[in-house]
Amino acid sequence: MRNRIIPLIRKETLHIIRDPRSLYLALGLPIVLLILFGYAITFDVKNIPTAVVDQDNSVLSRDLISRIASSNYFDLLYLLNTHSGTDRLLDEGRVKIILSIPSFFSRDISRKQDTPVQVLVDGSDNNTAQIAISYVSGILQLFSSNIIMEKLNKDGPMPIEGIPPINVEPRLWYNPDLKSTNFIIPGLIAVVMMVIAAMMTSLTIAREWEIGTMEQLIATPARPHEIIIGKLTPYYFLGLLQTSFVILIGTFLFKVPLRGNILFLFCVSSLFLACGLGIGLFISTVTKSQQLAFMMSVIFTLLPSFLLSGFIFPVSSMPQIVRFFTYLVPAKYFLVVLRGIFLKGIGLNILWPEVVSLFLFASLIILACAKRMKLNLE
Amino acid sequence: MNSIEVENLTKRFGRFTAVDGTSFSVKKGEIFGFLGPNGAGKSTTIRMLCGILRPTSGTAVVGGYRIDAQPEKIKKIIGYVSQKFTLYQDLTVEENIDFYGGIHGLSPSIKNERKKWVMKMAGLKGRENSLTKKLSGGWKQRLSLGCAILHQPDILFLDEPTASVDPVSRRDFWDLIYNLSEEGTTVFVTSHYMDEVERCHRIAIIFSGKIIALGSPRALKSEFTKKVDSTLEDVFISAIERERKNEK
Ligand SMILES: Nc1ncnc2c1ncn2[C@@H]1O[C@H](COP(=O)(O)OP(=O)(O)OP(=O)(O)O)[C@@H](O)[C@H]1O
Ligand SMILES: [Mg+2]
Repeated sequence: MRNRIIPLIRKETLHIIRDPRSLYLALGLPIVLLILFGYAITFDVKNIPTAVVDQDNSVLSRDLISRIASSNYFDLLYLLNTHSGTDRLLDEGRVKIILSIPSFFSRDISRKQDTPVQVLVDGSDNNTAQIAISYVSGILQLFSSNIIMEKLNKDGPMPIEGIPPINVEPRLWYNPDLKSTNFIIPGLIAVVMMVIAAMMTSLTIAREWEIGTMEQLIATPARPHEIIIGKLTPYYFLGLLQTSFVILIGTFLFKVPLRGNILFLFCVSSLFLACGLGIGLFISTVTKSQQLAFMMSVIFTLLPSFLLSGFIFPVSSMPQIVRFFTYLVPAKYFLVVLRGIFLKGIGLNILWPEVVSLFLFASLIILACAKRMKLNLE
Repeated sequence: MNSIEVENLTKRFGRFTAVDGTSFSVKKGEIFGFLGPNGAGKSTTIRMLCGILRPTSGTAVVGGYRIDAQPEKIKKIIGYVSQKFTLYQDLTVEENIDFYGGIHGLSPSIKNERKKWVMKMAGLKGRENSLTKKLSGGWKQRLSLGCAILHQPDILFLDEPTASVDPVSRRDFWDLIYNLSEEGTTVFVTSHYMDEVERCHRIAIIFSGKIIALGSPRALKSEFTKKVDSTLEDVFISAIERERKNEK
């Protein structure tokens, strides 16, 4: 029995080489998406437009204000001494945050009383609000501990209730400067690889149905599994090439540290690609139209990889029923692997549950499709 | 000896019956024409006989194999040119031939020999490296035929093969069909051109999924019309009239 898979692979490779669109889809689009989203989606908040109402106007309050102004998180646009009209600044969106220093600020501090500083935040951009609050409280905390240290140095021991019992000094592991690209790029890599793999396979099969060549093909002795292998193999290698591209962009352009083993990264990437190709195959058992295949790839891969993988929303904060569905999203496992390899430098000994899950997903979906794919005209 | 034996073959799509209990047989080496208007059920019949569409009921034996039990065996001994143009347009002439040769499992030496033969038959010598989409209609059609007979099938199914071809190419095409038939290949060809099916050894006229007339062109003419110089068109019309009367 002569091998029928080789001619099928050769034919599919020729299609890819001759069709600039498929090459662009596989190699150009991921780069564009990665660069576009890599710069556009950022959770780093900088230069938040800020107003400060200084009702105290003392040495201490000006010290606090200069700390805020000199951090590049805040853009100090308005420095006022009364509250009148500040609401409008928030309403009109000219500032996102208003810091109000009460008139007895330095008196209260010198009396070692609790000193409230009011922070008004535009909550309509929830994400920025959260981050702004944490920045402000960070600065305030640092400010107050400095004062306490100074007092300690000057006055000697003071009553115990005046000092914070523990000196909180947060240290962030893996991503010490809290660069959000370090989280975003691995997520984007997962999304892009998944979507393109599924889209390419489902489109190439749907295209053959639409042109009519599939009818010719299934009337030849080629068996369904041979047609599937012939279709998937070239796209698999194309996917690996694409993987190298996105990894290079992530590490060199976005400076995401690659701390783990790159060979291991490629092994897991091929498993993940197999999942994507399998989903594409599944779509092509459902529809023979390119347009529908395109839409279904978006619904079955783009949205889950974005929303259910833990990329945008942490899985642990999802409602139970939604969390159940995340187990069916390969990107969820791959994301853990990518972040683990890139940022933590960990390997199979820790990541094996994810690797096993990806392996199971890939083999189950491809086997199921091979069974389902009747390759006849109904 | 019969190459094709069809018994009560029926295909329904939902409630719609596309092929309605047809029965006929085709002898080895015969050129059998399937004549019918658009939507009569010609393509549906051919697809079932090629083993790529399951019949709703009834069965057929093609080259000794039942279409419902051994479609894989059938696919090895038939050649099929479907109604849509079915070569890969973005592949060159030679790449298309290599692909279909490879998929039929031809050894390299046989494949080369057959390739030469097809290039000569289709008049494509010197155009090995042209992209298929650049070929004109007649050439494309001969190339698809060539790719379907690379593996020297026992039975050849052609679904409206000359639909987009000029008269000269059509005559060349029929010369080739006669050659194949003389060498023992059974040819099953559909058409809705009356003058074309005239060249077949025997014809079945299919209408709304039913065979309403069957026989050699001459026999059909004498059966259905009284005119001396009647054409298949007359046969076609009176066959339909008779069918309508029978229905009432
Ligand atoms: N997959 C399908 N699902 C539903 N209906 C179908 C399907 N395939 C064919 N039909 C219907 O069955 C009927 C017969 O179709 P078929 O293609 O066999 O006709 P045909 O004789 O080949 O006509 P044409 O000359 O247009 O090719 C048509 O009415 C067609 O709409
Ligand atoms: Mg038809």
